[in-house]
Amino acid sequence: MRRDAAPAYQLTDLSDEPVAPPANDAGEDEGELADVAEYDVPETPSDSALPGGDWLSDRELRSNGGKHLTGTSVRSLPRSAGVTEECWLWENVFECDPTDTCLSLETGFWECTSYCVIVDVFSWDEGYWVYLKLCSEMASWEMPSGTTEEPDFPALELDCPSSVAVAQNAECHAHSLDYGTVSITGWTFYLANGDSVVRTSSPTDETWSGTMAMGGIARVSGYIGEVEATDGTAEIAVQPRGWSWRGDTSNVQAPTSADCFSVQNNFTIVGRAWGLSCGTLTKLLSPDWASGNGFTLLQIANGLNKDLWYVSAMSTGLDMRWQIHREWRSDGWTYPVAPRDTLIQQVQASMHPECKQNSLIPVPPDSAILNLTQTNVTCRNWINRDTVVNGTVYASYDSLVGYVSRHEECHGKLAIRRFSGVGGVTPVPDQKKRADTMVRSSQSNLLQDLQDLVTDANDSVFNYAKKLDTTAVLKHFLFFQSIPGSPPHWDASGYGAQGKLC
Amino acid sequence: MLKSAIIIALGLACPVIALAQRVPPMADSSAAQIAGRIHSRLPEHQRMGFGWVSDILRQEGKPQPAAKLDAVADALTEVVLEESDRSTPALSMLSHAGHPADSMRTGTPYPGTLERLIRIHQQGSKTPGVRTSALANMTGFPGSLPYLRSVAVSSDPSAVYAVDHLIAVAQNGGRNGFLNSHKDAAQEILRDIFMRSLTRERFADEGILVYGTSQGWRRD
Repeated sequence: MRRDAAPAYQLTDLSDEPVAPPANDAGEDEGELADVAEYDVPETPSDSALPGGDWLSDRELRSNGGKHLTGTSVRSLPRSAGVTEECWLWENVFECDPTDTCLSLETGFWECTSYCVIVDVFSWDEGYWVYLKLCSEMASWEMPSGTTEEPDFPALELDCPSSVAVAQNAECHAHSLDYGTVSITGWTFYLANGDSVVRTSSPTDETWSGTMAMGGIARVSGYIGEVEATDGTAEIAVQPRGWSWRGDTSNVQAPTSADCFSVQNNFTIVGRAWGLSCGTLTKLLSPDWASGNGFTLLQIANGLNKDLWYVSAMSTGLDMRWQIHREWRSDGWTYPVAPRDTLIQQVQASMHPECKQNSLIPVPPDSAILNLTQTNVTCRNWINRDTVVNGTVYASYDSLVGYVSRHEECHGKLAIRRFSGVGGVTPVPDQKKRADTMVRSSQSNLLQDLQDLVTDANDSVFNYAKKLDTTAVLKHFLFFQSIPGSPPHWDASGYGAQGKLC
Repeated sequence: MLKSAIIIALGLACPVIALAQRVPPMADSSAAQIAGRIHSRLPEHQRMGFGWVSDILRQEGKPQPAAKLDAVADALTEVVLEESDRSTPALSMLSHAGHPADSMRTGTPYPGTLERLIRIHQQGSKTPGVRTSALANMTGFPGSLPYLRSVAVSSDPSAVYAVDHLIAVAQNGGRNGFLNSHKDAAQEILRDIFMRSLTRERFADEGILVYGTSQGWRRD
């Protein structure tokens, strides 16, 4: 008894008694996924050649109180060479009485544009013997009585959901339309990746169920009564859950209470943009996937996908933060101002009222402690004032802070464009979409694959976002800062910004 | 008499026969046969992924000659260097093959992984891409620190990634904490790079500046 091939229908000369066809007869290609149909237009047989006498049209059947056949699904088939008809195979055929009470039949029929063929299936060792009848009009047709004798080899039927989503449960139930007690001997699920799951727990149950992550073909073996039955098979497709990380983004200014880079006396870095992992340079996606964070991996304990690992949750996204370094903010660190500093001399000449009012610089100016903002905005009042030195235009301190703020925010915008594909930018692959249907036989394999997919995307996002940073100085600024030295002192300094806006 | 015949094969392919537990497919095949399967473009072969190759390299269920392992790893490396959509899965399983055994990983770590990751970084063309992915995976291998250092201080466009991976080792022990015992060594490398201003690539320079400053290091 062949156990490794899908059921096949085979026709033979109806005038002969059914005999077993030769082994490995044509038409049973184990490797074919697609349906195959090869047939010539058959001659119309004489009704006397068919068992069961005349066949009646549906109209005739109904008028005589007879039954008719109907199918619950239609499958389009490719046409063979020389055959011009469009043909369908009607499956899951039901015999219905005039009150539309239907009984499922172990049969099916072909319907073509010029003729139809009713088949009656007799199970045989190498497949099925089929009786057929050509019809001159399209209708539903009755199976001639007397042709539905008990097959020599009964068949198991397997009812499984044709499609489930990842992480959903699938339950398959084995039964038979043939007479006799069903005894199941084993189950196998052939995974789409070529592996298989052989049921070891309660293999004689008539039902097999479990969480699904990968599709494939379920197969059940058993007996009907004392006879070994033809295996039942059913395909289950596993659909993605619709995951996507495209919208998992944010780009906000971090509050001053959450400094990412908080080191005093560093005047070279004005602002920064980063992902939620503050301590790293290139890792913009979060959480830290390299440490295994952001993924929930589950192993399926039972059922058709037993022992497989899949991703039950993934939280990886692009959450950009940007910030002006504390030195350049109003809460910046303070530095002493000495009376001899250039700053004092200039401020004294035109001290801003607020500076004087707040006694930031005492009068007479013996000493003060100021930060960059107090010095340049409150006291020196360098607001919106450009200074030209040797032909170069230097913008003011507050212009610098504004420029850098926009620059850092732009890093986040560019990163999101690359991550999500907005603004006409080619996006990085949606790795969460891939993770949706990723299944591996081991936890470590799955984790490794996930980490590398995220690494790929992250590196690409970082590389795109850093395009704003330049080696060339694009804009000049002039302001007072505390110059380290012995003693330190405040003086005007020119700055060049190595970065552009988006 | 009906003379015509209808031959109809319905339904689904007969799947591959179940594999014996823990012995990967083709484990008994020659290196050339395995390499052929690795390079195969047949859909049914590509659906298998490269997990089975990693299992062979880790000698799951069956010891393998060293020369065979190297030939298989080389075939996997060639797929990575194709820089196609199959490169990342191939790189993942090449790396996976070399990681130490732990609660998640069985078998024997393949000793030639790091050498091939370095080869991928040196011969790959895409930055970011397989070159940076190879760097990221190096943080799972103790012998990688000298190479990461050499990249970090180079003018290569992947230098900033190398700096960042050294930081990741210093702070978190690298990929999955594989290098927890090498945190101090990585930190010392970073300190040396910072103090001697060794970086030459613009972003690596900024990266080491930010990191070094955050660590309280001061250049004299």
